[in-house]
Amino acid sequence: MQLNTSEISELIRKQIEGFEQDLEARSEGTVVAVQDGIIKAHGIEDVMQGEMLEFPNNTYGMALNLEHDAVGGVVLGDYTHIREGDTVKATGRIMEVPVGENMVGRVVNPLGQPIDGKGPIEAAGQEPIEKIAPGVIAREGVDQPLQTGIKALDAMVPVGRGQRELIIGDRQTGKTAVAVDTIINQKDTGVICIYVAVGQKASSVAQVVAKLEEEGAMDHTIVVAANASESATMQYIAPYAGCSMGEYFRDRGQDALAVYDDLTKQAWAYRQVSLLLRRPPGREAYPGDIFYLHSRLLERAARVNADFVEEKTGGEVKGQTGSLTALPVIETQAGDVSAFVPTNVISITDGQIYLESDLFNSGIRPAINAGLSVSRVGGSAQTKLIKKLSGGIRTDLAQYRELAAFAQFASDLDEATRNQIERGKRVTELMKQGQYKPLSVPEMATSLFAANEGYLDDVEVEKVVDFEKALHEYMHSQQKDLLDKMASELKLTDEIVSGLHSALKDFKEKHAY
Amino acid sequence: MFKRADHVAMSVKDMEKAIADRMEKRLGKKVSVESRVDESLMAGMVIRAGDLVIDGSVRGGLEQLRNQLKA
Repeated sequence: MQLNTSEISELIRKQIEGFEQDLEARSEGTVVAVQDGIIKAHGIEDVMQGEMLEFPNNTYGMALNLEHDAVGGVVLGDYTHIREGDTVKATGRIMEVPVGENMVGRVVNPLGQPIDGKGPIEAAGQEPIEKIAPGVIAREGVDQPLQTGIKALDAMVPVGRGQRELIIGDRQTGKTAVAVDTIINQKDTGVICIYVAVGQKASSVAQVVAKLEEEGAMDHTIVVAANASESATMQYIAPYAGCSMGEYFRDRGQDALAVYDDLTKQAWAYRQVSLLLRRPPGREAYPGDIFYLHSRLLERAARVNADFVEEKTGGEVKGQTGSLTALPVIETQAGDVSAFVPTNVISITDGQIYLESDLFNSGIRPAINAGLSVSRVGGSAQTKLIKKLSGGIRTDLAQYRELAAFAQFASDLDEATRNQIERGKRVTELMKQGQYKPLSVPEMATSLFAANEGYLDDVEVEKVVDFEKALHEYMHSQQKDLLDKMASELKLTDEIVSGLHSALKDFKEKHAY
Repeated sequence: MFKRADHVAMSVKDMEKAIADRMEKRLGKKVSVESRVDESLMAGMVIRAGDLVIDGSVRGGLEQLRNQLKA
């Protein structure tokens, strides 16, 4: 962008001319101690919990501990220039972030300031980062699917709009991959995605953003990044900031999806802040309100009814429900799901997607453990078509797991058992899916149908992946009508069943894979 | 710059009286004014009442302007 010097000076002149001194009375205090980003201040007696504090040099902080004769707070960002004796002003505002449609497609820090170098953001407004979740009256049941585009998930662990589904697993098991694939699959669905990166390497965040851009998914995504180098406070507030940005869309009758990647690091950051503020440590040195830290965040993911949306928009949007779906991520250490933070978050969420490194290493990717992964509300939100077809898959896999362990010892098996094991092997193989390759509902249905109706039984196990790929190509080139029909009806009608039967027979007869 | 200039102070004593009246109304308490001259303000005045600060000085104004231009 080329800027003329005279244009710049004109701009500044205008700003100076339009300047009006703010004569608002503010409460002031003095900084008495600074250590590790924590400040202690005297004065500012009428400050609110969570209020923004202003320090010299345009630095901001947040008041967290209101004590008898002092206020404990945290500095957001660099604190090295703050000295003992500096004045600290109360701003009268609770921590806020900019929200609105213009945030979409941008990468921002937890304060909502752009960090992608694409210029300032014209926000629709400011919203506090901490808000109370909608109550019982404002809510509606979760009955619309949020398609992840991942076969294994949509078939066995469906996620509904407004649900909170935990993604849990060790490092390097593909947690972020599942989340990113889901974001990519929201293209053209109208779902606005918010990817909150907490305590991650800046390079990893840059990679995710680059991938989202490459797949054209940045057009419906906001990235909120608090990198590992950022202060613990920034990492602690990042999920709340992202949540407020998502709530804006929920409250306007739209659908949004928030990915918190990951809450383990946020809990660490909050533990650091709490210990520095001298709050008493509890189990694993986490403070007493570590459960509330996550429960108040995840409660804000909800499906709200039309009345709530109408009230929030002042009658502007009528008859539309809104939703904010949450996909929190938790990283376990050596598969230990019974550690403090994982158990907390498991109990808060409506189910979990459990990823295992053993599966990942044996080539089953996404490495979803079908036995331990559950979705407590998704079943009612599953697409009818997939729901009808996935029942068989689930039982096939469950029986296979049971028999596979047993079959290792027995050499002679009766035919029924052997068939079941063979079926299970193929279904396991079928559930494999490449990264960044989300499937549409009709494609998924075709694959599941083939497995259910035994069309895979005479395909070699090693060939299942190729078979599926060729089948999808065949369907796209020769059975377009059938795919379109499935996409529009989303139900398993007799017509679709017979169509699929003849398509599969035709494919197996005439096509190689 | 001063919007609430409905008192026109003629002397320091008049000004103190005017400030005391306004602050009493605002705080609902008896107020005694103690004033001193601070050259670094350049012009205008700063009222302090406990933690409460009303900054109407040129220095404060310039600082605000600087922050606004930086942002």
